[in-house]
Amino acid sequence: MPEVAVAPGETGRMEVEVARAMARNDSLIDPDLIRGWLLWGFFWLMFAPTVGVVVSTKFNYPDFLGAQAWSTFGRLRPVHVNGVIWGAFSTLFIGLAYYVTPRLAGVRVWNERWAHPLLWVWNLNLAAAFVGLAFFGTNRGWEAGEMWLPNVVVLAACVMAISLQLLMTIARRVQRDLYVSLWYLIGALVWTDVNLLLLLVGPYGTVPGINNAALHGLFIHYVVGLWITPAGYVLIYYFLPAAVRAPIYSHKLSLIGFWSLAFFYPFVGIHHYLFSPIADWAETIAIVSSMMLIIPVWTVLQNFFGTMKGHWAGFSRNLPAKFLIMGSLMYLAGCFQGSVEALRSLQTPTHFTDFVISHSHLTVFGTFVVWAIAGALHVWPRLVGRELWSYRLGNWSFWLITIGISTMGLVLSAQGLQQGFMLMARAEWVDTVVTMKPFWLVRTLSGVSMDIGISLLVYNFMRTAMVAR
Amino acid sequence: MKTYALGAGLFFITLAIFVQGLLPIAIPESRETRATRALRNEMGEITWVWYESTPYTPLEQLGRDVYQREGCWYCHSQYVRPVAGEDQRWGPVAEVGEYAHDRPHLLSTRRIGPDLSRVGLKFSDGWHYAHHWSPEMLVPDSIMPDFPWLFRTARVPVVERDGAPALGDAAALKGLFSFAPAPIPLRPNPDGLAFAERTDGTPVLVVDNLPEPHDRLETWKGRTLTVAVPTEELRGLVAYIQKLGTNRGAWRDAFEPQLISASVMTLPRTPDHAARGKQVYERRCAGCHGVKGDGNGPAATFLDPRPRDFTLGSFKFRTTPSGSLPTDGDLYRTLTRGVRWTAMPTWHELPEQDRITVIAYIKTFSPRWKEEKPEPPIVIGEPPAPGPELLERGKQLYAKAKCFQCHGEGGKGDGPSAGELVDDLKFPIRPTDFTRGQFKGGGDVRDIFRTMTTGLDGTPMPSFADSMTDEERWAISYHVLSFSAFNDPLTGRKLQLDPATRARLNERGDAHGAPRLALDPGAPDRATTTFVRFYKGILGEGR
Repeated sequence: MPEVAVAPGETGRMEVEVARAMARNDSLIDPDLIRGWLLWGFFWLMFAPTVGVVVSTKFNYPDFLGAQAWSTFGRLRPVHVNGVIWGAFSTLFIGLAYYVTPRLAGVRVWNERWAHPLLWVWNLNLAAAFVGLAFFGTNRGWEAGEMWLPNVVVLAACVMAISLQLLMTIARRVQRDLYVSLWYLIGALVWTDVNLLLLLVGPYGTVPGINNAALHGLFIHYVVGLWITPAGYVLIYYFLPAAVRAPIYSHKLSLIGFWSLAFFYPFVGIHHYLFSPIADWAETIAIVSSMMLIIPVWTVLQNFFGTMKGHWAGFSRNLPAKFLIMGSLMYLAGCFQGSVEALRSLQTPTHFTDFVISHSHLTVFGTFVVWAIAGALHVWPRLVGRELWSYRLGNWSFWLITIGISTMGLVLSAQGLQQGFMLMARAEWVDTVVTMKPFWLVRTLSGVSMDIGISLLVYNFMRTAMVAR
Repeated sequence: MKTYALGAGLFFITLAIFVQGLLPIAIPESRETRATRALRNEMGEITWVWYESTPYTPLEQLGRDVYQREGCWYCHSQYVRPVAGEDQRWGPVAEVGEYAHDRPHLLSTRRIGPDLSRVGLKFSDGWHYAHHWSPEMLVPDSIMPDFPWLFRTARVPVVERDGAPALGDAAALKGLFSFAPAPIPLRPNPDGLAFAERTDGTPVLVVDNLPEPHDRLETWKGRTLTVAVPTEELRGLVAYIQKLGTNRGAWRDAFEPQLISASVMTLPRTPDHAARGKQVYERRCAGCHGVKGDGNGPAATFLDPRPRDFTLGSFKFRTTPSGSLPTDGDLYRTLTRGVRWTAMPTWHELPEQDRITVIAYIKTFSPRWKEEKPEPPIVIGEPPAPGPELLERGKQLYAKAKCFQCHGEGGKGDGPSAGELVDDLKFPIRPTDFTRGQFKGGGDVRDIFRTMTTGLDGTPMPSFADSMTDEERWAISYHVLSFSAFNDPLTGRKLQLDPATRARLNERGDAHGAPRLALDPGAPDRATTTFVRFYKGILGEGR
């Protein structure tokens, strides 16, 4: 039960009870722990997109940062991708999960004392993995799973320990019914444990050839579909009702969303390798499932906008709600793009181009990182016991990030189509690269805009904490 | 209820892993280790056969590890799709068997640079060394990074010795070269960079045959050269790149966009046309051939054979008689097909208009083009049908005409005089190794016949137009092609095919003239019977 399932305008007695419930909920969490996770999350949030801006600059200025091994595109790209997935998004998410889970379960986190060492193991392991990728080239060759094997082992162990903690917490909950956030939390944790196990002991190093690619397709889409997506849903299903103080629009819809995600998402991975020598029927199953993903996407979005119905008043000054709704709009665009680009006809021009990169940025950053930012905006002031230091600065962050990600989504889609159609019209390869250069410049600038927005936000958080002290 | 839900959640992911992960592996086709491979039969024709893909050598595997480590695969894909005209851009559509030895796969999901699954043998090793030193040197618009840490370098001053420039401080080079007695010539580029692929000898500065003013002492004296040699990792990387796609054999010799053969065509000769060509030239050609067209671009130090010097107006691959300028069609053909086993790639991707204008520009470098006109091209005509007698006659004539003197008894380019050959500019030149089937002027019997007839100007390869009859030159041409029959173009080694399969592949006609018609030695030969082909056509099979 989210803490705010009370419609506005109810009696004063109700409000007193809510206040009492909130105080009780606050006693269930460990603020130091969550603060630690969020601080590390803020660090990765500044770090990983900045690496993205650096590698993007190289499209227009290949000599940028000079010619050392560690500063090349090939060494830094995995730092950016893994930095956003495991660093910025996952660290913030885990921190917020330590906030959300006890409140929804009504009990403190099981074996809470594990969480502090886990915080350091998780983050130092990520730092070590990125040093390895950039400086030592410890690249395992599986996109989104490139980290050095010992780093993967530690990462998987952390996820499993956290899974155990949170699942045990849920098992010991005081209320029988599970709120939808917990459904997704259970899904995200269990599926990702399975997926990381697949990466560790699975057929990665043993199955050769085209089947290795098919398995990698599964792995990479399990990361985005069975970790980032349900984890992101955990956040918005909790923080949207909390931010606008309204109950969720429809529990029935949220169940349709959950089960259609659980059913269709595991099948889509091979759409990364359409028209490859992987069997046509396997590709077709991936395409059909990709299209069917419109069901969970549109049901959750209907649920979010339905929740907003009648609660738009005060929206403009409600930063968490603004980030959540902006992220939802990006999700609508990004997922529609994702589904249709799995179609063979659209993939013919767009595959291998920046059109795909547009989709990954709109969804992973524009949606899920933005939702995590919204969660942090909700939680951070409550942790430090003071309102956000500057709403105006926060609003600047909102618009810099919104304009940045929208521009990036548009320019990457446009240039992907441009290059794809040029190639279909038999343009020479290097000519198409030259055509991309002005697009890439805009794309880098849009990344700079997002980066400034994030930095101002983190500054805002730090000032909030300092004033509080 | 809860248990059911948890069970269902796990069931869905398990179902998906089964359907999309395990089931594809269970299908035997996905574990196919053979691919269709183009090869030249003894009759000089390209035909296709199902053949086992070969694993990586230790050096190639080292290169593959470097490719994986440096993240080359983030920008370079490794599969050709059957759509978007890719099979006319990169080469044949990807097949399962090509990847049999890939662990992990490096298919990639993004092309910031070109696909590399067909890059093997498109360029020479030297081109790749130059390209890793500085891609911009070869492709000014390239956004690929430099890879200086894959080279070992030393800085050496140039001093005067016996009136010629020489390497001053040999000590700096001790870490790079073994200083065994064999000399290793270093020919620096205009920027003072000198590259050597070999390191098992003593480096010697050689400038006397470089174009003006780089052949003079004053140009070099007091300057400091950068000497670069590849690391073992880079050698491996280049070996890996050259291996890519060669499990499909000599596919390039059957690749339609590259097989364009023009002999006579007339291109407009206006200053505007040449000016357009200048833009193309400076973006595509100047890295090797130099902005001045003197064959001494910044990458030339990496290349052996060196790039053509256009200021001399002397061209190898012509349909015109020995000593004549080539026709525009000859230049167009060379440009389109590239010159195999050299740094000159195929330019079939380049728009026709660009190819035409750049030819107009190339013709401005030498005054010969103003003073002379190409002589009328020779008539090549239809080749006689090959057969065992013709091949035997070719073999005898090959001995009689002393072809082995340079090209060797076995056609490996290792004849008694092979080591001493130099071209007109006194650069060492290797006789072609016929066993790899990588013919500079083209791999069709007509191409060999043309070379035999017109000779290769500027090289020791003479014209046999006067000393032999047409019929004799056809016979030798077939014999020359037969050296590479059933050979792997990368290694020059014979493929393991049983005599019956060879005999079937030697049959005339196009029964196996495409990947989809490839001969499967294990299966009964049904593709050749008219009825089955018709029947398959009705069913739409094998499209």
